[in-house]
Amino acid sequence: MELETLLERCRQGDELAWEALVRQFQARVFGLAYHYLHDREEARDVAQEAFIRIYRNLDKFEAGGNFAAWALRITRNCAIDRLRHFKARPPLDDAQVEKCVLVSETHSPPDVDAMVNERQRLLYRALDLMSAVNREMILLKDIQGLRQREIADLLSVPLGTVKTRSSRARVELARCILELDPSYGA
Amino acid sequence: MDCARFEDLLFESLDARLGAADEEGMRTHVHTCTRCRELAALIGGGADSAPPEVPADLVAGVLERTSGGSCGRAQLLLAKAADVALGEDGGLLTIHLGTCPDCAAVARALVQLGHELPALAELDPGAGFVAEVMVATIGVAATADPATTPRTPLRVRFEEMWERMAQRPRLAFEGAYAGIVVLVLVFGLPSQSLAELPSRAFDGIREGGVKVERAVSSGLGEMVEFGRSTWIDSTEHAAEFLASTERGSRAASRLESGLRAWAGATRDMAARIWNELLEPIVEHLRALWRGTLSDVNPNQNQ
Repeated sequence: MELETLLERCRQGDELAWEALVRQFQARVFGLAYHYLHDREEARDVAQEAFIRIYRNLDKFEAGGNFAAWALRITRNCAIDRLRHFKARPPLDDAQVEKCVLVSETHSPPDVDAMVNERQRLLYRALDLMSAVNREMILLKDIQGLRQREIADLLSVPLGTVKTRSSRARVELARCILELDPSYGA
Repeated sequence: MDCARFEDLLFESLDARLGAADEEGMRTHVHTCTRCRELAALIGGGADSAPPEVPADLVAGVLERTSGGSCGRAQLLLAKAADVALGEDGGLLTIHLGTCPDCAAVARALVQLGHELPALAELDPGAGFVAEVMVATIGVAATADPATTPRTPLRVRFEEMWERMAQRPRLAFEGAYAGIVVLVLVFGLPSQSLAELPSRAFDGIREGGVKVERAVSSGLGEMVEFGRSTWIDSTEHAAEFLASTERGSRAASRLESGLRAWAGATRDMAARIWNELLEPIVEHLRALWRGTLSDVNPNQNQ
């Protein structure tokens, strides 16, 4: 079924259509949330929250637009809200401190091992080495495949900034991954 | 041919062709004279002259002293190439990549990243995620996906259904409404055989109340009497036992008289407990019960 048809049925309250839509986009929404939060359970909560917001705002999505970009924008906002929540409410004990640090800075928690192969683990490590700004650009453009105009709208920056930042981000990632594995791509 | 003659002919050869004898003389000389061979190579003359080798760092040195290194721009162009056609820049980039191993490595890495990064876009959130979203949004569970979702036992599904029903915000209102409807249907309609049930229930309650009242008062009296008699009997038995076994002993006779006195005091105390404490309470409860019944059904109580 075409996405437009699916969305229209969702707006009319068709539960089956909504379930199909969730199944279609769950991996991307969860994937994006995980890249921001780096914690499987937190990412799952955020992905669920994102779908709730998507469901409540389906009427606001303009027909003919890129639904994936719209859904990913909502997911990013949910993830940013969750990260702000972590920063605003510092943990009380050491265990939570470790978790908070894990969420905000590192990118290789143990639970990622179960989900990715060796090759992808190398990519995650390289992404760790990047600056946060460039990493987000890689995440939105090269991993999620959003267009430059969509990224500019999402990040509220000029299109030229996205173009420049995108190229720099790729170069930085290439250098980072060559640091880890000089034979990468050979 | 000496070196001076060679130089003269070399410069002449740039403007015009030489004769065969002169060319042969120059060729012979250049094989034997290193200086003239290098001179011929620099100027470009001489059929057998080899070009001097360009120092490897010559270009880098020139760039460093003029425009600066070009690797930064080359790598940005490489990254840009994924989005747009480079045009003339592509040719320049190709020349640079042929001589710069670092940028060539970056180029290969960028190509590989272009293949591998999209695979990170999707991650499996795990089983049950869709069901959670469905419950959180429209309040019903998702249909089971036999390929990925194991079948839930009937008991668990019933518990989940009950939990969802209990969490509905209008459950209390709906329950109260349904209860009222049932009461009206069962007791409120004159044609129903159960319509007389409330009045009969009150009669039963009243009769039962009288029985309870009697049972309570007699039970309390019997209980006090039983305790009193049991205590006194056991005390008297103990005194008689002591009198029979330790007869003659002064201590035993004192203990016997003490036990008998204790039995008498206990008997008096039990009588006072019943007469002054329990009987007024029972009488008070009886009066309360009668008053309640007269409020509920004044006609029958009269």
